[in-house]
Parts: sequence; C-alpha cells; structure tokens
Amino acid sequence: MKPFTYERAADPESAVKAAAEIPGARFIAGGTNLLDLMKLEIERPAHLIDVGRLPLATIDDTPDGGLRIGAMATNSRVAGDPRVRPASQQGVHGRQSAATHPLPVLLRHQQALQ
Amino acid sequence: VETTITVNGEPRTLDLDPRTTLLDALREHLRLTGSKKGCDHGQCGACTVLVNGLRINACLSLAVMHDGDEVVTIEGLGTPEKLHPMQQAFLTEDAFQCGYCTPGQICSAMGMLGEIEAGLPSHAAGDVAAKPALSEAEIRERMSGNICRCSAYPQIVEAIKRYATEEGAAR
Repeated sequence: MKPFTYERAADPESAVKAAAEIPGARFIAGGTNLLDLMKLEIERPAHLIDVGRLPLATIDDTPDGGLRIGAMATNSRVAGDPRVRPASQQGVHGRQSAATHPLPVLLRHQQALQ
Repeated sequence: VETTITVNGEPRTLDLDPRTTLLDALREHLRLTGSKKGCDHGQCGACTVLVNGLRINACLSLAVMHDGDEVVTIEGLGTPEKLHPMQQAFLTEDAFQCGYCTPGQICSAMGMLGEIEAGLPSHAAGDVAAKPALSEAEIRERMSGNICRCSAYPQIVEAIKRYATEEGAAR
C-alpha cells in the first residue's frame, strides 16, 4: 500500500472542503472496496478523509411516502429496516433478500408508491 | 497517528502508520495473534472480530478508523483456562481440523447470533419480514463469509446450534 495521510471529517462541509483542496484525496467510509484496491495499488490516494462517523446514516420518511436513505446507512441496516422489508417481498424475486440487492428493492418500493 | 482502541475491555493507545489495518494493529502491535490473516482481502473471514458488537473483517479496516471503538477478539471471548461457551461447543462438536479459521468462525458466530437476535433478514429467509429462525439454512447462509478449507462446516453448524440451545436453556 502506498503511504497516505488521514483525517477524520468533523462534519460534511469540512469533508467536502478537504476533498476539493487536497490533491489525490478520497473519502473512506467502511473501507471494504477502497482498502482492497489500495492493497493491490490499483487505488493510490494521497489522503483519506474518513466520513464513517458523519451523522448521515438515517432512514427518514419523505412527505410523498418514500424513504430518504442516508449515504452512510449500511446495506444490512437498509435491508433490516421494517419499512424496507415488506417492499422487498414484492415483485418477481419473492425470495430475494434486501441484503443481497437493496437497490432494485428500493426502486420497486418507489414504483409501488408511485 | 495516535489511536486509542479499547481491545477486550482495555484501552490501548498506539502510534500508527495510517496504513496499518485493524488486523495488523491487533496482531503485530498488540501481539494478539488469535485473529488470523488468511487472504487479507476480506474473502476468507479468518480475521473476523467484533467492533462495537458487530462482526467485521479486521483486514479491510484501518486501525485509525477505530479510534474510540470497542474491539473484541477471540482472546477477549475466552481463555484456555476459561473457555467461552461457544469455544466449548466447537470442541464438543469437533468443529475444526487445523483450527486456522476457528477464531474468526467463533467471533463471526457470536456476531451472527446478535444479528439474528436483532431480527436482521438474510438471503436464506423465506419471509424477510418475519423474525429469522436459527435454522441450518440460516446458519449456513449467515456464516458464509467464513471459509473453512478443512471443510468442517457440518460440525461448525452443529456447534453453533449446540451453543444456541444451551444458552437458550441457561436463560
């Protein structure tokens, strides 16, 4: 892995600012994808901005009956949300878990609401 | 980067190169070599530890990202003198041959049972809205991130079922 500097973002604004100002900066949240690629030196960021603890993991109801899912909400958390689960039963893949394919599930949910 | 991680109940402060993974911090800096490095790419599960009660692959996480977190490794679950009941269940059911994957299997099993307790659905569930049952299919699906090249899978399933039954009876 190539050397890099590291900072933990205090809030979304400073994270965006750091990303814009520091050449070669990348965001890191969990690390599952990025770290794997960094070990193989496919990704070689000069600076990592840790956004993992920013308060963006909420799943909120929207006025039009949908859900607004925060960027930091994990797949398993979305899949386990009681509002998402019934929606994942609908559609052609009756047995498919939301944990495996959260996005189609949510799209179906959105379609069902429209 | 100075990082303080509570490991097995004890706060440990380390001055780390940002590249240090949580796994390397545990093994190389804290000399807790129970957590194993198998693939180092998040595919084998040998490095599974519990962070704030949830299981993660310690090889795909930077130690500096865990400042202030609580990490539990196999050394924190039990000791040779006082085995954790899950460790005892693995012994009783002969749930390993070489044992390399076992610390990860056991940490993963503990995390997995917590996820079932919390009602999180899995691919094996017939009804993802229902509370998951501790069936063999559920255990196998939920433990699928932990590879055992000796193929002790049937005994691992039996060990987890034994632990769950005994703990359920003890409550």
